[in-house]
Formats: sequence, structure tokens, C-alpha cells
Amino acid sequence: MINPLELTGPNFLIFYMLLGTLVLALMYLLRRLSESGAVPRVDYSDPYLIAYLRGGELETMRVAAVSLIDRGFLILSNRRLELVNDRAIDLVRRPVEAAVLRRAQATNDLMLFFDSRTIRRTTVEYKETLQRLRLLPDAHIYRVRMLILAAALAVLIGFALASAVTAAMRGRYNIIYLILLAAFFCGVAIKYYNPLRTALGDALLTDLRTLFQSLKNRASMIRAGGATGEAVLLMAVFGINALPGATFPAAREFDDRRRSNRTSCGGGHGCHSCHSSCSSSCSSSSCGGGGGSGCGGGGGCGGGS
Amino acid sequence: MTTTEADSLPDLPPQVSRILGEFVDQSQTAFAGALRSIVLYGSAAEGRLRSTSDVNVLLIVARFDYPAAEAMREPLRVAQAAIRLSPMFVLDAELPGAITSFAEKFADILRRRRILFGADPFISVTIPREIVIARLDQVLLNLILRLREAYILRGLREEQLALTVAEAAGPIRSCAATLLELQGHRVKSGSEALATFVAQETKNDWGDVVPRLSEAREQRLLPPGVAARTLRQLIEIATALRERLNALPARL
Repeated sequence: MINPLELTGPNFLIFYMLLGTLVLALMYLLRRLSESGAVPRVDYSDPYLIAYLRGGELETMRVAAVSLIDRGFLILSNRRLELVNDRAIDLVRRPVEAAVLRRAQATNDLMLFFDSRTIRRTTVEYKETLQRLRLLPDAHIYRVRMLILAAALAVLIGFALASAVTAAMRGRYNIIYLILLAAFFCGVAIKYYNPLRTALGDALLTDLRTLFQSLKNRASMIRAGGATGEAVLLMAVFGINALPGATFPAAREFDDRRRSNRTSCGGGHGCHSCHSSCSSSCSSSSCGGGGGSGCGGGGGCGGGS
Repeated sequence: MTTTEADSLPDLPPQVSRILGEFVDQSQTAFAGALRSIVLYGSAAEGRLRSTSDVNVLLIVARFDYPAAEAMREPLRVAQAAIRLSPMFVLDAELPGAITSFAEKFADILRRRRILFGADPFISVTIPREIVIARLDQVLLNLILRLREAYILRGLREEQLALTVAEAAGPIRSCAATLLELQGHRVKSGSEALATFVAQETKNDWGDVVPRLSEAREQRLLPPGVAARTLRQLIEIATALRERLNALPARL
């Protein structure tokens, strides 16, 4: 049996790459195993619960805002959200909708709009429900994830350190590639150890996407106005981007892809609001569901107006 | 039959079967003892559902309880969004009147239906021939008038014409099926009935209209230059159906 620490130069680097890949794969598998189970039934008649599962609190607020614009309670013009009629607050049923409308009374600026603890508080119930169903990580799942991360980092850093010490004892100090590789694998492990959803949450979202696939297929036929639940459910399951921009022009203002192409977190306060709302709900690695849309894509903030 | 059968609809897409099953369960919970039957009808009942088809259900209730109806709001919105569920709520006392008032529609329900819950309310129902003839004539005339308007109003936009063709496909097939039944033919489905009728009308050049209807329903588009011609053919077919209908004796 070869002692890997006896390997030198490129051979050790190849070994370390294999080790790093194996550790990351094991991390993923362990996390999936510890978080899997029978997919629970959820009340998918509440689109904001689904929106929270898919994208967290900021996404829930954005879906609510676009839905309220579609229903004619809010008007979006020149990146300002205006409440059409104060009485609208008493007409909506969901607390998050009422909170979004109240926010529109307080501020019109889209850059500041979602930096609201009041709106965020209304989404806590969704978070707790999803955590109770093990669809989002609760404190226990988070601890398990941390343990898995700690073990992975211990292996990655331990091997790198042992190899560096061995090399130094042999008078070799060219370990820059080893440091880079170790930093890369540790960085990947830290970035992906704590995703927004659990494996169970991913499974449920996949199930919902299958269930509502025909709705997505006929997205171009959905009529504006909110007479049906089609638009809000489409947004909740597939994202605001799934709405046809021609019929729902307001959706373009909240579009992740467009926003990521523009200056993300460009405006000072917008950036702050984005970060704060992300960090309040999850770790920095888990905000927003990847693709660079995490904080930057997070709706009302950034957005480079 | 008093069991829920929505869970065992293997010829429907799984998500349709699942949402339908949940809708049936929720209807039972909401309407409780007032719920008499739930009947699936139309293309879903035939197991020939297309991606663009509505899933039509008829709920027969003893009374329309508003609290029960309110409990159905969320489930219905979800089902409507997910599978285009289109329900009709009829009191059992209203059923005879509904059958005569919408004879052509109920003739289609008699032809293709599945009972999802409760007893089959149509097991001994026959619609008087003269009522079917009168109502079919009304439906065909209405269809012709609407198609003429669409031909002019949407004629400059081929994609809109194709949508009109797609939307007219169901009604015209159903009319053809009802007419052939009135003539004493056994009819399996609306599309077959229309194909039979078109084949019988040899003097007209409608050879490609049946596949074009299917194409329009599936793709929501037709090749350039085809939609307007297909719509013209539909108007001609509806007119021919009406002519043949008016030649039928009111009583046998």
C-alpha cells in the first residue's frame, strides 16, 4: 500500500484532486441521505409557500408584489411601486400581500421596497411550516450539515498540511499548487454545504414542477388580471421569469436574468437591503438558489436602475 | 357505483389523474352528503386528453351550500391552473332542465363520460330527439356566426386564426357525433364522427380538414396559408351539418 504522503509533485496533486472530488461527492451523498425521506404533502393552494420553498423570503415578497401588480392593487412605473387604493389592504387575504401593500404606502422606491422587516415577518410562518416538514433545513439539519462540512474540511486541510510538512522536511517548498487546490476544494465545500432546501425540499419542488408543467407550457396563454390562480402559481413554482413579459410587463422588472446582466447590488442601499434579507434567512451560501442570482437576483434589491 | 375512481385513470397523464383525484376528495369533504355524483366528460373521459384540452367535470349536488363552495375555492384554482379543470355545478333538481336546455352538450356527456364519484346520473337518461335537433341547430348556427366573425376579425393574423380553429374543433366534432347519432349511427368519438361526415360529403374538398384540426389543437399553429382555408372549411362543414340536420325528421 502506497503512503500518499510519499507521493511527490504532480503525482500528489493528482491524488489530492481525486481526494477532493471524493470528499465533495461524499459530502453531497451524506447530505442527501441524511435529508431524504417520503415527500410530504403540502398545501400547494398557497402559492407563497411554494415561492418560499423555491427561493426563500425575498422571492416570496417578489411573487406577492408581481401578483398584486397583476391584480391591479399596485402600479409599477419608473421603478416605483404605488398603491392604487388604500382599501386594497383590507381586500387581500394573505398576510404577505397586506404587508407588501402597506409597504407601498410607506415607500415607493423599488430599491428600498423589500428591505422591510414587516414584510419579512409575514413570511416566517412559511419558513416554519417548511422547516417542520423538513423541506428547509432546521437547526438540527443545519448542525448535521456543519458536521459534514467540518469533517470534509478536516480531511482536505489535514492532507494538505501533512503533505506540506512532509515536503518541508524534505527541503521542498514549492507547494503553491497544493495550496491553490486545497483552497479550491475548501471553497467549493463551504459554498455548497448549506443549500436553501433539503433533499426532501428539492424532491418536492421537482414534483411540483412536474405537476404544473402543463401550466408552464401554456404560459403564453395566461391572461393578466388575476381572475385565475395561474399567474401566481406559475411564478411560485417556476419563478417570475416564467411569466410572459408581453402580458405581464411588471415581471420584467423583477426578472433575475435581466437583473444579473445589469449592475447587481449597484445602488448602495439596495445592496445592503439585499444582503440583509438574504442573511436573515439563510447562510450566504444558500441565498437565492445559485446561478449568481442569489443576493443579486434577489428581487427588489440591486437591480441597477 | 359509489367509489372514487379518479385514482384509477391509467389512460390519463399522471398529474391529471392525481389532481383530479385530489379534487374529487376535496369535493367530497366540502359538499359531504350533498354531493351526488362527479362525472368526467369530454376528451378526458375518452382517455384522449391533449395538452391543450380542458378537463371537464360535472358535479351534481343536492344543494349549493355556500360554505362548501367557499371551501372549494382554493382547490379549484389549483386544479384549474394545473390541469385546466373546468367544472360545472348542477343541482340534481336542475338536471332535467339542464339536459333539455343544453341538449347537445349533454348528448356529448351521455356519449363519453366516466363516473368519478357516486351513482351514474345518466344511466336511464334519454334526451328527446326533437330537443336534440333544435339545440344542435342552435349550436351549429351560433358556431357558424362566431366563425364568420373570427374569419374577418382575426383574418390578418394567421396564428389567431389557428387558435380559432383549435377552439372550434371540439364543438364541431361533438356536433358531428350528435348528428350521426340522430341518423342512427353508432359513434365512438367526436373526431371519428367528423371524419365519417367529411368522408360522406364527397362533393366537397375537405380532405385535409380532420388532420388540420388535430394539428391546430396540438400545436396551436398551422402552416402558413392553411389556417384561413381550414376556417373556411369549418364554416362549410358546420353549414353542411346544419343542412343535413334540418332534413332529419323530428320524430322517428
